[in-house]
Amino acid sequence: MVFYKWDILGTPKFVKFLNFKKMFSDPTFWSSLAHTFYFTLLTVPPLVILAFLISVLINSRRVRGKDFLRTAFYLPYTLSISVVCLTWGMIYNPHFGIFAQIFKFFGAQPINWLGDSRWAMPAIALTTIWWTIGFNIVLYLAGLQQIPPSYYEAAELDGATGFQKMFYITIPLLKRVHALVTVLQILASLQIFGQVFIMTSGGPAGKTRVLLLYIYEKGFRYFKMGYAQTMAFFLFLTMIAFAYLQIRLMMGKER
Amino acid sequence: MKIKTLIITIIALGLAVVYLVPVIWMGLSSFMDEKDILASRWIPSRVHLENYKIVLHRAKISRWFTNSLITASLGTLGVLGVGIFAGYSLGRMRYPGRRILFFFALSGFMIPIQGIMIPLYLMLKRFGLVNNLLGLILPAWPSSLAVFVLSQFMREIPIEFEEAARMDGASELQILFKVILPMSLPAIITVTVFHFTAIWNDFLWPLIIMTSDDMYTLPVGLVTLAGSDVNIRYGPIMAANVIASLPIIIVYVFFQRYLTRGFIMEVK
Repeated sequence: MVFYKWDILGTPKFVKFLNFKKMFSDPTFWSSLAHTFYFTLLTVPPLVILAFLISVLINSRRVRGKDFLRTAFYLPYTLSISVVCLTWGMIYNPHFGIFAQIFKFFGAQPINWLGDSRWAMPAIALTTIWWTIGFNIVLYLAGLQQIPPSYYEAAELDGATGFQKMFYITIPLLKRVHALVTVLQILASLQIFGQVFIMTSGGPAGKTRVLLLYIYEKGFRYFKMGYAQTMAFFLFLTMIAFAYLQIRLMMGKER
Repeated sequence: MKIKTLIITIIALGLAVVYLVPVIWMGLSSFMDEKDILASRWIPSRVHLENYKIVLHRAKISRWFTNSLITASLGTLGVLGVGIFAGYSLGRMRYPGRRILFFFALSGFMIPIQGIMIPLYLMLKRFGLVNNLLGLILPAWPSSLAVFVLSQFMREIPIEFEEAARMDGASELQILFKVILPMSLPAIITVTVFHFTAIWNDFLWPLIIMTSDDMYTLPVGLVTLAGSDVNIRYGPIMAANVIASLPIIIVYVFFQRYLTRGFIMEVK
């Protein structure tokens, strides 16, 4: 398909590499790609690190109410993207949203988060972090529960501090889980679409238009199927390396 | 020691409550009229049920609800059907080429729906499945995650159970259904909850293939609802959000304690 000019009604026309040429000289393609990477950069580190810290907290022997904690942090992930984005659209409202209320309380001028070209993407990133961190927490908890308690007991006998146990037992033993969560998260973040579609439609001034949104616009609004698929193919290629890593991690060692 | 427990617990519970604020706000706002919302109230001045009435009355929300329910149920059943057989074969049977097959099964991860959405759309169009629930259900069936979770879990079941059944003359299928399947229940629950939620909440795919508002699923319906009718403002939208979320939240709260048990993570 990437070699065809394919408008949904007409017959596909073979155009060789024209779609690729067009893509590489399309400034909107490059800016959409940059926005996608920006979003990935904003979301992956917090989603991995916070997920790990929260799982350690939930898994800690000293914490009571584990069921409630697990439910609380996973609950947002069970909500539909539309529910999340419509609710957060209200939370970001510059007149009566939660952040506006906090700003007003401190006597500051509320920011129009989603309408400000500097803040729109970080705002979308924050919503995404809140929404999806639960999945990573489940993966981390599954990993944490498989560390034999005897490791910690032995360390305690040797007089290890909590800090030492964390850095010499927990973090290194979860090496595979860290890698898996990171790779999965990169793949998920590169596929950002719905949050932008619902909350800003790519605005303000195209500052949050991500690659998948651009593909959707070209393919299903203007029906440039060949060109849209060329860009989708490009996105697919950037993801393949990460996906390959992920599969290697999931297959593990043969027994 | 006791005090430390108390402090950590309070911190953790505090964090969790802050985390739930958006959900709580959504719930409270669904009972408010516009005036309360615009005045940034937190407690409704009176319980305002009209929001729910407006939504249930005017919007096609029950239609969307049914569409979502059918799609998510049949989609999940299909995922289990494929995943259980594939998981058993890849996790427990020994035959040449198994590792390559496993690689292919997992390589589904490499091809997210976004990468193939345009060819898939054109294909479904040719089969007449555009604007048809089957166009949502069938593409959901092959799931790498399900195959992965089930095969990993089944692999951990000790071989002795299988051998004992074989001694009693059980066939391969009997072993799968009478021995392995009951023991894999945690993994099956994990797969079910994950996929039901994922299909119920999917946005991009139904947005692409559903062309009439009768066929929308809840997520797509909600967004068009929020964008279409000027009379449907914040309160009713939050009410619609609550209606859309409640079934999933109930399923989840019910099953959450099993969710992590289905995962076998290799720790090293």
